[in-house]
Amino acid sequence: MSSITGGFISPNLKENFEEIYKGMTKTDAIIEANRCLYCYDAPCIKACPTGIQIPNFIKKIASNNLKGSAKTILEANPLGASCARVCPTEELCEGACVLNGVSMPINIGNLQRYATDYAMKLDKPLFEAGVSNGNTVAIIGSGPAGLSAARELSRLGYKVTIFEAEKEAGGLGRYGIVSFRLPKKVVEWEVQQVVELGVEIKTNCRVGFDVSVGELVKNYDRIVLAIGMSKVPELGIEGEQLDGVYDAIEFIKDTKISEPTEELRGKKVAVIGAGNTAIDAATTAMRLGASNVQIIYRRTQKEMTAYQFEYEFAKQDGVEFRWLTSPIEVIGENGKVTGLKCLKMTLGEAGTDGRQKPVPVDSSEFTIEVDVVIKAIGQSRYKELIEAFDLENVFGVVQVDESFNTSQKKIYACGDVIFGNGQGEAMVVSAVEQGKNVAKAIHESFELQVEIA
Amino acid sequence: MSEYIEFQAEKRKIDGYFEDGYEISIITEDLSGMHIEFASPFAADREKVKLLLTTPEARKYIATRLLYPQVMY
Amino acid sequence: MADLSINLGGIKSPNPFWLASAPPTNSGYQVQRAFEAGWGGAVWKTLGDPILNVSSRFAAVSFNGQRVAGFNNIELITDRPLEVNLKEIYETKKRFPNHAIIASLMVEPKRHKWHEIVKRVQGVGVDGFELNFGCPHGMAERGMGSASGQVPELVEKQTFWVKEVAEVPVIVKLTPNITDITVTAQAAVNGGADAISMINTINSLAGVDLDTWNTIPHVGGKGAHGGYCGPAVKPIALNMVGECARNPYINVPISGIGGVSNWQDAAEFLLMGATGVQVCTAAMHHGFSIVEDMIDGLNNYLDEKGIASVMDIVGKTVPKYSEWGDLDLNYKVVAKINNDVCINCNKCHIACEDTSHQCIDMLVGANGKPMLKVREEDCVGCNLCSIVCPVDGAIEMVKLKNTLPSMTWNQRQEMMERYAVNRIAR
Repeated sequence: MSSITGGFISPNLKENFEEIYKGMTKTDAIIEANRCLYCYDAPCIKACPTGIQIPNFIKKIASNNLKGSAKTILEANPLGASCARVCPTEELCEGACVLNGVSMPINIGNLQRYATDYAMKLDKPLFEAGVSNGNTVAIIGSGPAGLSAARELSRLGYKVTIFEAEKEAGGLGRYGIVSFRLPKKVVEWEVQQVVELGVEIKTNCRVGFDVSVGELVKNYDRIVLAIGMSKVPELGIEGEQLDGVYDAIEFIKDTKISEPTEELRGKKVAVIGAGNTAIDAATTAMRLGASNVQIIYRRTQKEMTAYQFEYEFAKQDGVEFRWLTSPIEVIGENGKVTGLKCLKMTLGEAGTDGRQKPVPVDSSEFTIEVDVVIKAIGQSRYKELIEAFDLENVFGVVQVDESFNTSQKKIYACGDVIFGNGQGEAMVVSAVEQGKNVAKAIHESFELQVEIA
Repeated sequence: MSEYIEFQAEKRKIDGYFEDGYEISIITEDLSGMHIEFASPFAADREKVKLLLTTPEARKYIATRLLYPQVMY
Repeated sequence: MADLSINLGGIKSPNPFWLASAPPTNSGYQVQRAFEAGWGGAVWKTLGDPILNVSSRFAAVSFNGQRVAGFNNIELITDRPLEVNLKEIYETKKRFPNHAIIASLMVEPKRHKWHEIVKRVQGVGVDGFELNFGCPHGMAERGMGSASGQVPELVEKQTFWVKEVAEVPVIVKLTPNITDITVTAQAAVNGGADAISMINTINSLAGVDLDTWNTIPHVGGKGAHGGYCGPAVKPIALNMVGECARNPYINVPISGIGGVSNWQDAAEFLLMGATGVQVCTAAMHHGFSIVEDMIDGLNNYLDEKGIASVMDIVGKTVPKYSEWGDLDLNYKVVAKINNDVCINCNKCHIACEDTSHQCIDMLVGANGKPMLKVREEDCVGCNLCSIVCPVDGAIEMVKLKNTLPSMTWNQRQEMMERYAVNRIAR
């Protein structure tokens, strides 16, 4: 989303969390939509994990059929509005556009945003629930994977109930992606579309606590595990328990459920990790008034997992990057963080995953002065819950077959919960596609049952 | 079937008849294409052969041959 | 530096670029600004009995987000008294003695009316007249404009009357709303015209408003047909100029009008037989300064071609403009796709597959990359793929070496007579 430009940080913290990019104007959209060649068997469609009929939706913008455009998008991608804001389009649809190298690739992401913004304004349901077939499905988790599965199942006539542990539905879209990129009103609308199809979402309902695993297994014909991943794991270094060390996910979540506080104003911050969450945490810290934010990463920019446009955005916001640096101790005084001791690293031989392993450089310790340390080194797994369902897993990564069926016949899994060890992709758009596929697989499993019977 | 393959088949027939010394006696054009009536100059009973050309390339080809009988084809 | 001056039927102009008789040439103020900008000549907005105009007057047709692909007007001739126009013509001519001022005229088809206006106007020193037999709206209903222009006898008669008293060259402007413009062109020549100009505007309606169901344009909720011009009409105008230019009975110079937006368009009209061009829509869209590149571009083009005078290119393509029946049926081109340049949008494939001869295949090349290939034996050389292809150089239409000698339809028909069966006899 190269249309988001960072760096405009206001002393009024609240302003810093308003959506940065306001969307295309009508003239912009019409001109850009007309630039699209309307390819046949277009590569952009193949590059989209949800297979949106991109040339079609773009043509409908050009012909002023915005309702048709929005429907084309949302048919393939129930979370088309979110994806229009968060997808790494340079690596997906826009990256595949035939105009790359000829002129400029079509601004597919922003055109998708234009059409879905219209749908949100239209405020009329675009899809209908299917004729009820009497079967029930419990979906655990109302993030992109869960919502997507719920919508598709509902259209196929299933009675769907979503169990959501948090206060609001939406998952990472609602709580984990920064407001200035994905405002909560977008996710709220997407959730509402699903609810309007007759899906029941029980919020504040944690499976394993508020409702038992056994109850679900007994009362529902199928179960979909779309619980995503858990908290950021421990760094495993001294000083981690000091006041001022944050979990990046929790840190960002706070900005999505309450007004920004003055806690970080003027503070020096170190963010450990270089994925998209680390970037989000770093830019959030800048926007909360931090005087200096550094990203600490043990490898280099080349190995960084954050999207290129996220990296650019972070630099625009003034975030500094310390490559080949690893934290070894959090230093504190009176229980509060005062510094971070680091070790310089160098890249050694490649490991089993093909990435070069970082190797410490002898006697290269140094300390940076910081008041806050934010851990963004990945996420752990809901191992307890997974074990409670008795699902085959590798270090908490639920194993599934090509139909997203787990080792338990009536339980399916999709989204971040199956991501890991070379399996799956941790993108919103992939989670959405997996949710659709789970719905299809579940539907086929019933048809198979009928055939056998 | 590819029009090109059909044309080749029709052309072969045309070339064959010309090679064998047949002459064209009548050409009729109607909704179905071009009807050619070939007559052999040698057979005693003036054996007649009818050929229907459907492909545009064959219809062009035979017209060209008739317009330029002296050219080698 | 090429010589851009022209002599059109006795009217001299420093360059071939004139403004057509239209809103841009309504007043002396405007024509003087145009001459300052560099236009070689201007045809004054048609003089006649002052009319009354409506509001709104113009509409445009946009295409794929680009504005003014075509332009439509329901404006009429001058609404100013003749005296005012004549005064301004006189002043303009004094300030710009070397630029051509042509007075467009429209009066009822009565001899004394024509004589009166011709005598009065040529008194102020115009370089020529243009007789307006073309307005398709507003005047035609009163027997003037295209109502005259569609009747060859009226074209000839009125031209003759004007020529009885005119002391400067007379151009007759023809309407395209006609079955065969060469008929009215000939009538103009028979009447003594020194030159002809075409085209005037084409009967049209710009559009319909899908919300209000009003016509576009509309005047208080009602619409009326107007005259279409602008880039969209260029192919129609170009053909009509060409048909007149190649007609041996129409042996007068032609002033080409219709969608001339740049120097290339102007050059095309000249090659098709026009000695000069007239511009309206492009000037209304962008202002008079567009003539700067028209002059500069035409100059550079002639220099590159080694041509000394613009008059040398007039009509050079006309000998190549013929009848369908004289085209060589054995001339064959086929499409060739350059896969190094191709961007794999596949438009050529689907265009050919759905709407032409199904001879472009989507294959996978030896390197595993998708590639498009033409099956040449099935290609009829229609050009469609090269037309839809968005990338320069990706598709080329290549002439095949002729294995067959040339044969036109007319030749074929003549020859077939010898073999045809008398159907009535059968």
